[in-house]
Amino acid sequence: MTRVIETERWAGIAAVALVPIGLGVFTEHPPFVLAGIVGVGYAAYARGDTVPTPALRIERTLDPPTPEPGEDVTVTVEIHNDGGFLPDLRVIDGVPAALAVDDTARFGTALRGGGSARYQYTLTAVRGEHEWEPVTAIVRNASGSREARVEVDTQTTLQCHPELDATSTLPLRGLTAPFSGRVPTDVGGSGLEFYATREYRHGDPVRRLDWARLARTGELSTLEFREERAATVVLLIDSRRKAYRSPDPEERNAVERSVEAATQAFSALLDSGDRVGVAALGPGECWLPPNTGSDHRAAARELFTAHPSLAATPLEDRFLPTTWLVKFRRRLPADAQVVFFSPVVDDFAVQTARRLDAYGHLVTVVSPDPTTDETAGTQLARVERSNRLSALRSSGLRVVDWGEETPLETELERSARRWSA
Amino acid sequence: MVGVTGVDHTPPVEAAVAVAAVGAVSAGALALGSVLGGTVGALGVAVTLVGVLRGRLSAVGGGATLSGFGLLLAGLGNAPPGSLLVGAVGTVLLWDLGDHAVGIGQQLTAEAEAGRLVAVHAAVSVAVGIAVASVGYGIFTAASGGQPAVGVLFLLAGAIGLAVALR
Repeated sequence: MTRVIETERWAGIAAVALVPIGLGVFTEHPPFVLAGIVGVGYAAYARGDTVPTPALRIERTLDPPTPEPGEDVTVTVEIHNDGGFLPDLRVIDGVPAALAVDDTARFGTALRGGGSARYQYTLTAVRGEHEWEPVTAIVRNASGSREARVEVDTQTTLQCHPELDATSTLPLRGLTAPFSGRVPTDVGGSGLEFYATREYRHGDPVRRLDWARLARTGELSTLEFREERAATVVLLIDSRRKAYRSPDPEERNAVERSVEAATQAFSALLDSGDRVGVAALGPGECWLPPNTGSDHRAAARELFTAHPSLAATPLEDRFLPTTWLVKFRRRLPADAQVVFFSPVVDDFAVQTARRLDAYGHLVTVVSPDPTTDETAGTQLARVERSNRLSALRSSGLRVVDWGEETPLETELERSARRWSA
Repeated sequence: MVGVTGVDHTPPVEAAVAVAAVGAVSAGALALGSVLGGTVGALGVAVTLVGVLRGRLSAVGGGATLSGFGLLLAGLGNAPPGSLLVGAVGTVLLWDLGDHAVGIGQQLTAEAEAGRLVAVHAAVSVAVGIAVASVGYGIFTAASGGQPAVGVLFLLAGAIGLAVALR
C-alpha cells in the first residue's frame, strides 16, 4: 500500500511571488510583475505535478553467497521499474542488523518505465544466518512536491558458517568420563606417565612388573601409570542481552567472540576424543547434548551458524534465570565439566559459574574482555569486571581473561602454563 | 556535515556543480541589469553554494533569499525585463536545486551514487523555468506592446488570482 505525502517543499512560493508583484505596483515598474509570474508558475507546476505509482521489482545477489566469517561480500541490488517514469527514486536496502556495510546501502536515481538500475555495496560477513529486510523505496515527482514510500520485499539470506578449525587446545580439568582420552587423571592404570608402584596382585600384566625392584629385593610389585581419559565437556555461552557488549560499535561484541572461541574449542576437544556439548545461557532453547562423531560436528556447525540464541544480535525473548538453571542442571551429565564463555559483566555470571562448580561440574571460565578505559565510567566497569574474575579465581575456578588484541591461542597458552605451575 | 554517527551527510558533488552553473547564469543576468543587484545576487549564490557543499539547509535558504534581494534591487535599479526574468528563474532554481541536494545528502549520505537523480531533477526544473519564463515574457510583450497599463493590469490580476488559488 503506497501512501502519498505532501513534502511541502514548495510551500510559500506563491506568497513569495507576491512580493515582487506588490513592489511592481508600488513602483509602477512592470518587469517586477514578470519576476512574480515566475514564482506563480513554479507554484502551479508543484501543485499540478502528481507522484507516479511505483511498481518496482528488486533482485539481490550476493558474491560470494556463503562467505567465511570476516570476508567481504559484494551485494548487487538490481531495481526493475514495471511502472511509468520515475524522476526521483531513492532506494535504501534493508541490511540485516548484524552486518556492517563498508560504504552505503543507499542509492538514488531516475528510472524510465521498463528500465532497470543496479548498484553495489560491500559488507563484512559475520557468523550466522542473516535475512534481509524489505527494500525501502521513496519515489518523488519531478518537482519534489509529493512523495510515496513503498517497501519491496525480496528474499535473501546470507549464510556464514564458522570455521570449525582446531587452532588451539583447551586445557581441561580433571573431571573425566570412563573412556580413554587425553586428560591425565589421578587414577593409576595403563598410560604413559609414571604414577606409583603398588604391591603385586594376582593377574597384573607381566609387562607392568617392576623388574628392577624384583632384582633388588626379590619382591613383586606393579608399576602404575597415570590413566589418560576423555572428558565430557559442555561449552556454555553467555548470550544474555547483557553479554552483548563491545568496546565500541565497530568492534565485535563479547557474544560473537565467545562463539568464535567456542567453535575453536569444540573442534579441538572433538578431535582429541572428548565428548562435547553446547548450551547457551540466555533466552531461547539452545542445547546440543555432549556427543562425538562427524554427525555431531555437523550439528554443532549448524547450531553455531543459525541458532537464534547465539546470533550476533540479541534475542528479544524473556530470560528466566532460575528456570534456566534448573533445566540446565537436569540436562547436564553428572561427569560433565563446563567451559563457560562469558564477558562476566554482572554478578549473575559469577554466581552461575560458582554454582555449577559447587555442583561438581568443574568450571573453566573463558572471558572475552569488552571493557575499555576511555571514560571514568568504563574504567569503573573494567575494575568491577576484574574484581569479579578475581572472585572466581579465589573460589578455585580457572579463568582465562581474553583481551581484545590477544589471539585466544596465546591467552590459553599463557593460562595453561600458569595452571600447571 | 558529519553527524555523531560518523556518517558523511554532505550532498553529492554533481549537485554543487549544478547550483554553481545556475547561480552563475542568474547572477550574470542580474549584473547585466544592475551592478548592485548582480553583486548581491552573486553573494547569494556563494552562500547557497557553501550551504550545498556543507549540507546546510539554512545556508541554502539564506543564499536564495539574498539572491531574491538582489533581484529586487536590480528591479529597483530599472533592470530590463529579460534580466529580471532570468534572475527570478535562477533564484527559484537556487533554492530548488540546493534544497534537493541537501535532502539527498541527508537521506542517502555522501557515499551513495545519485548523479542521475540530481541531473534529471535539475534538467526538469530548468525546463519548467524556461517554459514559465517564455510564456510570461510572451504575455508581457504582447500586453505591454499596445496598451501598457491595461495589459499589465490584466497580467497582474491574473497572477494574483493564480497565486491565491495555489496558496
